[in-house]
Parts: sequence; C-alpha cells; structure tokens
Amino acid sequence: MIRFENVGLRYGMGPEILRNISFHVAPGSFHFLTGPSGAGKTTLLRLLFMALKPTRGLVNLFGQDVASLSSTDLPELRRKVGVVFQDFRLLNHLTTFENVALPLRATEQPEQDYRANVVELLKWVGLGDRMRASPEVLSGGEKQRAAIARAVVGQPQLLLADEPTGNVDPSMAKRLLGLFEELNKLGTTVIIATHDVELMRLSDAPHMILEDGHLGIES
Amino acid sequence: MSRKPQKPVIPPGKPKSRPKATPAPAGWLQRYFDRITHKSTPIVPVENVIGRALVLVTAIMCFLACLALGTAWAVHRASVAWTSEAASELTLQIKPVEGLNMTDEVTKAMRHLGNVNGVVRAEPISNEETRKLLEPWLGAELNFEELPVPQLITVEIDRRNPPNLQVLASDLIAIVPGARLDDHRVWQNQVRSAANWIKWTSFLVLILMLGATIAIIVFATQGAMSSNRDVVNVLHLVGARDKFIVREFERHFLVLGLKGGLAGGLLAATAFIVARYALEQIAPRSLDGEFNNLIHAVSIGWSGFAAIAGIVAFLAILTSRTSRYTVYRYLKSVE
Ligand SMILES: Nc1ncnc2c1ncn2[C@@H]1O[C@H](COP(=O)(O)OP(=O)(O)OP(=O)(O)O)[C@@H](O)[C@H]1O
Ligand SMILES: [Mg+2]
Repeated sequence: MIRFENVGLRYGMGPEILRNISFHVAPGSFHFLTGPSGAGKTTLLRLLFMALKPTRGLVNLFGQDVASLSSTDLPELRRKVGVVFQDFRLLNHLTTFENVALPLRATEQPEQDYRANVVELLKWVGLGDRMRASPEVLSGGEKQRAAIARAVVGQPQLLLADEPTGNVDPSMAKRLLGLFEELNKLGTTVIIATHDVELMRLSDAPHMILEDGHLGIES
Repeated sequence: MSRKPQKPVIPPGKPKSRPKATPAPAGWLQRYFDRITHKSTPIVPVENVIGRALVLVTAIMCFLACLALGTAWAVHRASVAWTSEAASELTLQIKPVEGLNMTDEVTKAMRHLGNVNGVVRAEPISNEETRKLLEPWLGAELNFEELPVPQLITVEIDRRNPPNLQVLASDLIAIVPGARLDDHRVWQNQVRSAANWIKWTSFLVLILMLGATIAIIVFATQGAMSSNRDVVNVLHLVGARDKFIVREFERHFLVLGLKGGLAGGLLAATAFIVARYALEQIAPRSLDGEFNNLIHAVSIGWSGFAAIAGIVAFLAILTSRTSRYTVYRYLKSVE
C-alpha cells in the first residue's frame, strides 16, 4: 500500500529533513509515527498525502509511483486518503457540519445522500449540538474532533492523523483512538503521528520512529 | 461525552467503493432542486471587499455600456429620421434680384414646379412663417419691405420617382434668376457623418470599457483566489477536482456579475426614462418636428429594455467566464 525507497526530502535549499527513508506499510495495518519535535513527522505525512513530492527516491502509494502522477489523477488518489492536520485546516465560513461533509460534497454527491451519515458521525464524536457552529467558535478539542470527523467521513483506505489527540483530555483521546481502531478493523490503514506516550501505550501497534532524518520501526 | 460508542463508527449501509455519480435522467433536475432548497453555504466565501468592489465596478460598467449603446442607437435613429425626411423635401430659395418683382418670380417658379414630373407638392413659406423662423436672429420687428429676405418654397418630391435635381435646378435658374435649389445634401451629409462619428466613438468607448471590465474581473478573481488560497488547498486535499473548484468560483462570480449588472441596467433604464421626460419638458414648441425625432430616438421601448437585459446577461456571463478562465490558470499554476 505504501512503499518508500531511499526517499530524501529537503525544503527549497534547506537541509535534508528526511534522509534515505525506506519502509513499507501493508494494507490494513496500524502504525504510530513518533519522534522529537521537528524531526519531520508532518513532512513525512505530507509526502503520504501528496502535498509534497520527494526530492529523491521513490514513493509508491496504492501501487502508483507518485512521481508519475498527473494532476488529474491526484483527486482520485486523495479521496482514498483521509488526513487530520496538526492545525486542523477547517474552513471558518462553513458550518461544522459542512466542514465535515466537505470531502463528500467535493465528490458532488447530493447532500440528502450523506446528510444522515454525517450527522451520525458528528454525534458520535460529541459534536451533535455544534453542527451549525462555525469552527471559529469551537474549542481546540472540538476542532480536533471536527477535523477527525472530516478525515474519516469518506471512508478512506488510508488515514493519516497528525497529533490527533494533542488538544483533548485522556478519556477523549482514548475514545478517538477507539475510533481509529474501529476504522482499522473495517480495513483502513492507519498512521498516527504523535508524541503522546500514554496514547501509544494503549495500543500494541508498531512505532515508526523518526530521528535525525532516519526512520526506525519498533514493534 | 459520556456516551460510549455502541455501533460501528462508519454508519453501515454504504458500499465501500462509492458508485460513480451517474447522471440519471431525472437525477440532474432533482440534484438541482436539492441544491437550491438545501442551500448549503457557498464554498467560496461570499462576503468580502473584493466581491463588493466587483459588484460596484460591474454596475458602473453596465450603466456606461448601456449609455454608450443607447446613445449610439438614439443618434442612429435620429439621423435616419432626419435624413430620410429631408431627402423627400427640398427647399427652393429665391433671392431678391434688382428690378424683379418677388411675387412674379415666385409665381413663375411655382408654375414650373407644377409641371415637373416627380414633384408632389410645392408651397411657398408664408411671410409669417419666415418671420417666425428668423425671429430669434432678427427680432420681432421684421419688415419684409425693407429687408432683402429671400423667399422660400418647400418642395416635396416623390422619393420613388424623383426628378433629376440638376436639370430641375438649372431649368429653374433659367426661368427665375434668383433661384437656388437646396436639396439638403450638404446638410444631410454633415448630419450623417456626425452621427457616424458619434456611433463609432460610442463603440470604441464600449470596447475600451469591455477591456477594462475584463481586466478588473481578472484582477478580482486573482485576488479572490489568493485570499481563498486556504480554501483551495483544503479542497484539493479532500480530493476535489479542479472542475469542481472552478465551478464554485464561477458560480460565485456569476452571482456578483448579475448583481452588478442588474443594478447598472436598472440605473441606465431609469436614466433613459428621465432623459426622455426631460426632453419633453424642454422641447420648444416651434421646433416640434425635430424635437419629436429626438424624443422618439431617446425613448426606449421594449426593444430598449430587452437590449439592456441583454447587456446585463452579457456582463454576467463575461464575469463568470473570465473568472473561470482565471481560476483554471491559477489551479494549473499551483499544481
Ligand atoms: N514549509 C516548510 N518550509 C521549510 N521548512 C519546513 C517547512 N515545513 C517544515 N519545515 C522544517 O522541517 C523540519 C521538520 O518539520 P515537521 O513539521 O515535519 O516536524 P514535526 O516532526 O512534525 O514536528 P512537530 O512534532 O513539532 O509537529 C523542521 O525543521 C521545520 O522547520
Ligand atoms: Mg508536526
């Protein structure tokens, strides 16, 4: 599902953030991605949702070499990937409901087809009574949950979450981890970037550890 | 927050691979109704400074375009009305000549005109009428005995069977030495070329304005794109196609263009109605004929309103098409 071979990445003329990274992730697996702040976790995730192309090396997603992708192939591929951004990236002029429903709206399905599902998902993450609110007025934890709901609403094959529990209390974090595990059981491959040691302790998923631009895997 | 998850996260009943949105025969209409009845927030934020500025500019441009076109049209109609009337009407001028009696000369000329084929009617303009015509220049105390005022005869010709005007003129000079036949051609040509000049100037102004409008829409769209960079990024990341993003922006700009166009069009229609009313009020009675032509030309009928509606529609479409093109170019550049 995901295969990296000798991947290197630098921003502009800067230092190489990722160096010679090689790994592969099997479909249906569950991984934590961890490492010190500034190690390049977010950068690695950006490569995975095709916001960046590697400076060198090979990135292969869903059996396709991302270097050979044309811009018209991207939307189709991105619909298979759900992303929870570290900074949420919710749109303030839309309601929380509309933010969460955005991936479905972007596929041009009629709203009536997905409305009930989105409402149910929002209730499940505890935003049932915040649906009409703008993300601007949500608390950090509520934003986080909205961002997670948006990432999973399209039933992606690959879920990438960047610090998805950074703003919630431990019990909510546990609940959200439960959500990711539930999705994983349904077949979604999950990668969660986090510093949260407590969270990682709750699961026996393998850890991918980024340090000094190199990646190690610990089971 | 106390509720425990009891059921699978993803509501069941949805196939893993979503079926492609097939436009079923009744589907698109249904979807259209859904779209307008559900009224979800536009993906492109509506309220912003650029949007308001664009509405204002479009309104002004639409107003000016209507004015330019309206002016061209009014001038065209007035010049056609004037020149065609004048063409069927000649003026025979008989200047006083030493030793000849004016009344005899007029009678001779009238008799000749009566025998020419193609002349429908000939009528001397009475002293009273001449006095009225000259009053503004020479005052009311006009004495015809003292002044060598030429006598004018209006000659109406059959336009389908006109007499040879050169022959007619030379024949008349032979009979009446003071005669001069004025077929208004010089004046007519002047009116025509002035009218043409105004028409072409109006079109030039129109084209310049269209160019300016397009440039402004391009700038506004580029501004909207860069101030909505986040929106575009997020849309890309959730898998929206460029087509979808373009359509959202296009719809946004179509609405802006329509708003501005309608405001400008309404203003223009009002301006034409007011102009007509004002002309009616100031029309001097003595110039009734000419003024009626002008008033008639200025008044906009249903065709005028249709033309304004056309301009509004054209501007709205221009706005959305231009923004569409600009958005496509932007999206190409960020990929
Ligand atoms: N757009 C960018 N341009 C230039 N440098 C960048 C950019 N984004 C990140 N970096 C740099 O790349 C390095 C890795 O950043 P990244 O965000 O991937 O770290 P991270 O592991 O996610 O950190 P954190 O745990 O704090 O979120 C940092 O040194 C950062 O300054
Ligand atoms: Mg990060």
